[in-house]
Amino acid sequence: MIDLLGHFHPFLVHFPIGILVLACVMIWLQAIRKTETQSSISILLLLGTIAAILAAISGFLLSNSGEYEKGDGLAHQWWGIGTSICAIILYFFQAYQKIISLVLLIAIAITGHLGGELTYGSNYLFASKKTNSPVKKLSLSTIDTIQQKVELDTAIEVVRMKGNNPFEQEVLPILKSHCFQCHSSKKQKGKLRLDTKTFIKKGGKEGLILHAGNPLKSHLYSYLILPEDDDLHMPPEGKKQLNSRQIDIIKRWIEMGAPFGESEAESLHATVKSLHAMPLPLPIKPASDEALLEAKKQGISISPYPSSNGGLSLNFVNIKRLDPKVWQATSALQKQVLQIKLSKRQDIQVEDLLNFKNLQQLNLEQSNVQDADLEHLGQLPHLSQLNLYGTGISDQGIKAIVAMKALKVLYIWQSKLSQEGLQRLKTARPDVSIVEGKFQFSPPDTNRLKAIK
Amino acid sequence: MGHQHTDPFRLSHPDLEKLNWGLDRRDFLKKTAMGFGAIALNGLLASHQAQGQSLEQQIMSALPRIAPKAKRVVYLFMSGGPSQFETWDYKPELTKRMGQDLPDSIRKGQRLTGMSANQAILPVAASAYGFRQYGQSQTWVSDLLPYTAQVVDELCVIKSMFTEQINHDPAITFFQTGHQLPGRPSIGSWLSYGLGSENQNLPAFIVMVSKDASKDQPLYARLWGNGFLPSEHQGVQFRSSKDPVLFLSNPEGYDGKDRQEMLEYLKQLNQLQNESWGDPEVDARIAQYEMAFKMQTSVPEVMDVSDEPQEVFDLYGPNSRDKGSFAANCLLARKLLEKDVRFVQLYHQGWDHHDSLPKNIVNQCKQTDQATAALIMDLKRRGMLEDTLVIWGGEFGRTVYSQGKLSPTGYGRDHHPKCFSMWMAGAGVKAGTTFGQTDDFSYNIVKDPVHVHDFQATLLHLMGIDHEQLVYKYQGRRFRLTDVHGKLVKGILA
Repeated sequence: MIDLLGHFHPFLVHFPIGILVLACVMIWLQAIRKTETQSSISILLLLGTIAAILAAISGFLLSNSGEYEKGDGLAHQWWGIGTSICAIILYFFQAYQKIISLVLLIAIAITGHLGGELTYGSNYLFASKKTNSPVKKLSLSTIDTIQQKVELDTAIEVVRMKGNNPFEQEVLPILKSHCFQCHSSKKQKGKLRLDTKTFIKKGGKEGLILHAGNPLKSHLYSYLILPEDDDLHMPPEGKKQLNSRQIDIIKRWIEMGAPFGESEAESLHATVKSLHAMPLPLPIKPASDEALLEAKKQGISISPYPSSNGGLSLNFVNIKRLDPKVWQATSALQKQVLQIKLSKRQDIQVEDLLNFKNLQQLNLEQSNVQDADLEHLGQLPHLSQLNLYGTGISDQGIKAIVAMKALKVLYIWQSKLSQEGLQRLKTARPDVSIVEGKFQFSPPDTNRLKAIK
Repeated sequence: MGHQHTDPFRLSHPDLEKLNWGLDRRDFLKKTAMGFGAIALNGLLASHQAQGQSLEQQIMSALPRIAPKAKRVVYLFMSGGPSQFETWDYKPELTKRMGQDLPDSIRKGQRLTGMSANQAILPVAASAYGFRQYGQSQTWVSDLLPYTAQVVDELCVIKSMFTEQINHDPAITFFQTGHQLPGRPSIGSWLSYGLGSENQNLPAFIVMVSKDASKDQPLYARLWGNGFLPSEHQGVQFRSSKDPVLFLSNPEGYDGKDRQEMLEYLKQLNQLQNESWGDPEVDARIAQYEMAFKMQTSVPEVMDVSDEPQEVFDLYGPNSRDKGSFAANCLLARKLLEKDVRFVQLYHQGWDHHDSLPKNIVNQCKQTDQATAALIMDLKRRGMLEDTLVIWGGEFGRTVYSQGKLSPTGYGRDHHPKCFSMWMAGAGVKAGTTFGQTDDFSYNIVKDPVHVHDFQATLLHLMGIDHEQLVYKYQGRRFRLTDVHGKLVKGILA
């Protein structure tokens, strides 16, 4: 109930401002034009004074409601009380009313301005106010704009995070310019502050606002993309809105896991941990859109490599001929590619593969690779899975396979490898699981197929 | 389109003649209503085609992607509702209760179908077949599945599936499209729309129906239909007849030499139509003609099993040389997956055993068991099981009580949506595990229930898609495969 009265403050403040200013104007008009309007002035002053007192009380209640930090609106509060007292004096002392009315006008102006700063931020008066005006009319000439907007909305341009502390470099400036007005040390609407890591992690009245990795569950992002007329939309209707790039930055940052830029010790710990989880050179820098597009244009199928962050898998199933142009198109992806699939191709030259230094998995089944090619493949330091079934690999290739240090899984059936050679391979590399492809079911016991009597 | 208006409805002026030809009322409304959208879409398509990427891929690449565990799916749909009692859900307690009326404490007043609701008693029927434990995982498997039992360490058996539908058509439609009423896109169509085709010479979604199954319940092409998605995403059915894909080969007496030229001109005509029309279905038509042309060479190649060694046919079993059988389809499925087809769906009908279940289910299992197990092992030895998801299951389960008269070896089972078993294997799934648990009557779920939408959400997740993100706006509403439901089944993820 008290909170409700407090909420009437923004409504009530307009009355003392309007009525008292009018009273002051009439005092001076009376003095200049020498007309007698004292009775009207008295009524206005009485009403204005009551309104000022009500505004002061409701303001006091509002300041205690918890939506504002203690002491934050102190100046506004005392100027408001001062204004009310000044109005009372003016009502009772007609003799000095011209002078007092000037004082009152100044007091009203200062109180009003201080109140405005509380609501709209400290520099609202001189800050330029740019809002995106919505496209008002659909005409042929605006269709281009709409198209561009649609393209922006489908987020073709992927915003990339710069630097090693995206929070401070990218996210914080956005929060500062669009959110601090209501959610910072000045003011905590919804009991929420966004000015430091601790407060952002703590959330507001409705609980957590940040779910690292999941933008749609994070109110910090999801409220931004609600329709502007939605009650929950942030920033509220009429306030300076974020543009689509800024929204995307917030989204990407949350997707990244909302890193706040840890201390050196923390980040070292994280690196060590991830090194344990994955055997490979880490972290992989994600491929650029241009590089991906370039490879896709050639018809190469690209997909993320399972359980890797930023790793890629290339499939050449749609490529007619493996000419230099094709490999040229993948040159900007050499660091990211962890798997290459060249199944059943007869035009492979393994030298082309050696640039992909991080390659973990290579599918060369039923292809033209020969024993001599394996030595080249030995130059790939991270190759852990090699598929060679249905190829012409023979006992001559064993030496090269044994030398592949990182190798863990080898598919070698239907090749020209002899039984004796296979045995040698197994003895030399007991740590490699060798898939021989010989699989036969044991015949079922037909007696058991009869129903139990 | 289609119907003709009589002259009084038409404007008569030479300049408007073209309009009269082109637009009837319905088309006019359709075109004007979507006018601006269509223009924008055309613009988008043009710009994306210039970048060599489809609109869908662009949109998907902008979505938060989960790194996919699975690149391909093969879904063995056991249509009709296989009984869990004779396959995966071992209930030894039932032998003691054989013939007793199903306790009310278990049924809890559940409505039954008209087929068994009027029975005087609901006699409990234990499985006529034994169970044994197999593999390192010591999973209980019915004696009817001796081959699948040998690959059980690759499987994740889910015993706690449940659905909302009790009749075949709504239940299978629900499984395939996420909604019990016809009209929504099938899972494979959603994946084709969301991920596109990896192999540009084959459709992303291919369907095969066993010819050797008893066709007790019908299947309709809409089960692999594209719904409201652009038509190039519908499942393409491969048949065992002379033409694997209907109307794909050139007509007799035509050598096909100028086919490509002809299609090029047809494409130009279609593009003209597209410019004045703005209907996205024209784009779909163009895409389909192009795909059909490529398939004229790619399909005969992939359907040719003559270069497969005898050892492979031995693996898939005696029926695998019989074109159109489940075993032959499994072998073809492996070939399609090798060609990077994203979603292969096999249907095997004949699991609807309302009576004589013990007799009929033996044959069903015989037709499917060995080839299913062979497919898993064949994928595994080719290094493909790690990024291929294999799914086996029907649209619902069957009742613990006998529909009709019960004798030790003769009983039937009615439809039961409240629990049933299915399994997944391969990419991203915990191998050699069992998930969920039913009560002693396999009537209710006591642990880890998995709803159909949960299954679908998990399938999409394994393919790298957040089921809440794969959305298509149609008639003013944003549609998803999982509607507004679906939880990821984390317990089965490796």
